[in-house]
Amino acid sequence: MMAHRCAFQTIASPALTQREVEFTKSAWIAGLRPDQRGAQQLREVNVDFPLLSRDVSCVRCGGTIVTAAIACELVEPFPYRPKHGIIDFSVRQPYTERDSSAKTAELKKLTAFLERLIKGGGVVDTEGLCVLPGRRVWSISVDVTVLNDEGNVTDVAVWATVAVLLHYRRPELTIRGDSVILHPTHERDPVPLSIHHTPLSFSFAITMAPGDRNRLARGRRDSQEALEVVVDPTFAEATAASSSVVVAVNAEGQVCSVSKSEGSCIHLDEVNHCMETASLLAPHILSLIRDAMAAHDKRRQEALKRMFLWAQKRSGVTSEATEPEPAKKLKTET
Amino acid sequence: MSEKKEYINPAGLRLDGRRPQESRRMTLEFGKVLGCDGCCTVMSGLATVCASVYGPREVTNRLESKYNECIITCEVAIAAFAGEKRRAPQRRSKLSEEMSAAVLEVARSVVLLSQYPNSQIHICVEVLRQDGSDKAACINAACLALVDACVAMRDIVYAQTVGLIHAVDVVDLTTEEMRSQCPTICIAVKGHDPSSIVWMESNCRVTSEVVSRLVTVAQKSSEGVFAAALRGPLEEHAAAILKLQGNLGNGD
Repeated sequence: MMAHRCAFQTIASPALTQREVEFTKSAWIAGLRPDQRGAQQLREVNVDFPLLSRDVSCVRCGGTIVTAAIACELVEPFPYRPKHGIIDFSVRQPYTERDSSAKTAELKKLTAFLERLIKGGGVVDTEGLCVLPGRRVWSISVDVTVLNDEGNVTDVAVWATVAVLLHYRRPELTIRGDSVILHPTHERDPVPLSIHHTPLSFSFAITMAPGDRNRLARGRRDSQEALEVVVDPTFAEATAASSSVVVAVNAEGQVCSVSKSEGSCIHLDEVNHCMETASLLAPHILSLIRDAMAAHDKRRQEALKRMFLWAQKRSGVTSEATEPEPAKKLKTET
Repeated sequence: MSEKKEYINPAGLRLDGRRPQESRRMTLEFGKVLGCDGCCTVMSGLATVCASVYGPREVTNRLESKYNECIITCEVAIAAFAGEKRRAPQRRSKLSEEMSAAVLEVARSVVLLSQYPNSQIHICVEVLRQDGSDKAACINAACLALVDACVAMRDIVYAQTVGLIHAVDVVDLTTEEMRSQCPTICIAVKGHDPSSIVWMESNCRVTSEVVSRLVTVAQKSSEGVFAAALRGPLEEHAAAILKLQGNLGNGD
């Protein structure tokens, strides 16, 4: 199913794309979505930390899979901001020969959006990343890799980035005068990053332009309403939509970013509807991220315990000798 | 936000003497650049932006052409002397790329792309002087240059930046007000129908009620500015073009 879906997307001819667009639009007019979701329903979201280390997160939303990896390093700061750390984002996607040159522009736009949302929005306390003013600051780089694209890459990339920023731990430092001692993880526990708030973005597809909607409402008589705003658009829905809105909200219900990109015009009530829907969906995604972090911590504890037991069993000869003794005693007693 | 600086004094005036809902004086100049199909210089307060449009013309990169619609490319250059400090004269920077992306999105929303298949429209925007709201000034200049180039468009677009300084809605921010790091929304609306939002972008942490209020304030102010500053020069320019065409017709 997945391979067929990908193959269909990559070799889609204009005629097939047009048929898909027409099918999607007729489904919207009938009040349905092509994959039978509700208007405010996300696809199945799964947040995972695949490695035992804390620096890789993988988020999948339906068929869209995005991985975010984080790394930090002590560097010299910029001269004009000597007390602030550095945060860098890069987004990449494995190319196929069918991808057009617009794909590069889309990835650049996604990188700029991540920078505006997380760096410009003050998510990470960059002043807390300062070690020695003017000489040593932490530099954090987040690499976002889009593994599969079935629509709504923006949201999944933001969720993966937020998850990896929340879960990451940087090494502990000891500063004595001008010397900086970097402690490995077995000497001291690493410390988490200072996160002020967690913005989560949600993409909305506006199905029809307001003029088209009024014309359609005038022509129809039945009370069944057409869908106006749908959340988490798939690739086909993004192609068929007249415009799109991206809203980022945090856990406190504040709106961190509103972006309306190209397409037909929209009205203020549609923007309000998008903000309300995003406020309803954000706690769900945040709870998924928190649950994934807790599950990963538990998995790390179990892995460390298993490793310790294995080392104990391997090195301790006495432990093997002591184990059979109670069994022998039990046998002699019976 | 810096609490020490008084951006709005007790009399209700801003640093440059404007009221909170008052935009800066805007003047338009058409046809000052030779060799291009459309050009417009927009002076909004101290900010000066010059935009030129070339096309619709043949696509320079054949691989990027589309059989059913026109492609639009945009290039934004910020002059070295534009800001307070002289900057390195590099053509591409992060700021100019962001402005270019914004202008491109607005142009693609507003131009009737299907009217020019297999064609390309190239927009060059030069920021000659920066005084806050640079992105909005670039969008205004580019859309007016498209009008001057007689490209088929849905409507005139007016873009501006609205902010919230000390719980007061402020319109058309200057450099000093932008430096206060107050919540801002950059929004572009249709000139004849301000309730239609063509493009908007906000990067601040506010409640949704504040976003709605700022958008409403921007729409009201856009209606006033369009009626006062944009409609007259555009009508005069259209009359001049029609007169020129009439003269050519009489010559035949």
